[in-house]
Amino acid sequence: MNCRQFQDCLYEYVEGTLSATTQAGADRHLAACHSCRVAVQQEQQFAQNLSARLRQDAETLTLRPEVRQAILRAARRQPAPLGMLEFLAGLWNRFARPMAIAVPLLLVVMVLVIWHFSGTRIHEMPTARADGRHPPSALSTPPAVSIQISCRRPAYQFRREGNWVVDTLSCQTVVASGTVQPGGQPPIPKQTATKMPL
Amino acid sequence: MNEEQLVAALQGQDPGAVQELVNACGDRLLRSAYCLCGNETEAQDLVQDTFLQALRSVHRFQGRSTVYTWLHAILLNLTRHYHRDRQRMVYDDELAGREAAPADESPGSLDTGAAASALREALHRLSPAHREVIILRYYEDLKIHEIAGHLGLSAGTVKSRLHYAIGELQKILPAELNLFGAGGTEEMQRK
Repeated sequence: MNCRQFQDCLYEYVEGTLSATTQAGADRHLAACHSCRVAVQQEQQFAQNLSARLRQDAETLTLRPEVRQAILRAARRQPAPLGMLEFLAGLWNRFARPMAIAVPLLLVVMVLVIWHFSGTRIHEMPTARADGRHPPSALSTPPAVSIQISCRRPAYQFRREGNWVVDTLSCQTVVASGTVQPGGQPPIPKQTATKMPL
Repeated sequence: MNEEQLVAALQGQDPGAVQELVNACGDRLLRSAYCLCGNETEAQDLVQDTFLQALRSVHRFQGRSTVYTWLHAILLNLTRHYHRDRQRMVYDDELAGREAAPADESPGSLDTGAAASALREALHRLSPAHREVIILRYYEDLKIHEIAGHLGLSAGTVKSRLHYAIGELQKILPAELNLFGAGGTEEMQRK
């Protein structure tokens, strides 16, 4: 053991908590090293002096009666410890708010992920090969899907009445419908429109 | 009443157990709190808060340490908050220097009161982390591995903090206090 190694275990040497092997090594080093012997003496002296000073400074202190009374009063007012059900209820209340935010966000993300990957699958659906034969999975043709989309389109009409320009707002409902055959060409939608004044 | 019975009684909210706990640990905790914060009134408040917090969380005490160690851990935590709050106050370096001056300038040997005051001042000037290890080792007489367990640190970190804290104390404390023994300071500085 050299001086540096001894310094590393100086505190444990002084308190006597070194293993037997390390203790023997430390003793051998101390027998030959004056400066480490001084360091041990200093640590012992410092511990003894500081401990005595600290105790001397604080030994007369006692807890004030009013502090004791306050603690006892508080102990009597202390509510009963939580039962398991109350503990679970507390836990639920604690996590309910973050859950209320996290769950809808998670659902939105899941819907977006499903939508994204299901779209990819439609694009990658196997179609008829060049030789006219269909791959096995494409043999059962999915049924045609009817689609009807409608929207309301505002339309302004302006007319002059004397010095005034009067506008009339009407609403036109545009309906487009058609049938989509998966894998086929998109149909040209039929459009109908009805005009309704607001 | 042994410790296990005391804890069971505390968990059962027995007022007699609270009284016994305060009698057993109150004064000892107060003295430790006083060493940590250097002010008796603050120490009394800290100990009161320690007991109140302990009573609130006694159902979580699992008996892995002694009751005093558990209370002392709560006290240390509260003391850290106390020091943090004090640091938020406006701090006047000049005033601090003036407060520290008597410890630095007192000539000759110090009487008991002056020595105690100088020691308190020196401890107050240490960082809270350094002060904690000094108090735990030299007032509570804990061993290195016990301090490490108490503070949740490695033994190496504890020794390092002790080393720097003692070095700081050597610089701050007046030589008349003679904590390091005759010629100790010079010897240590030479090393």
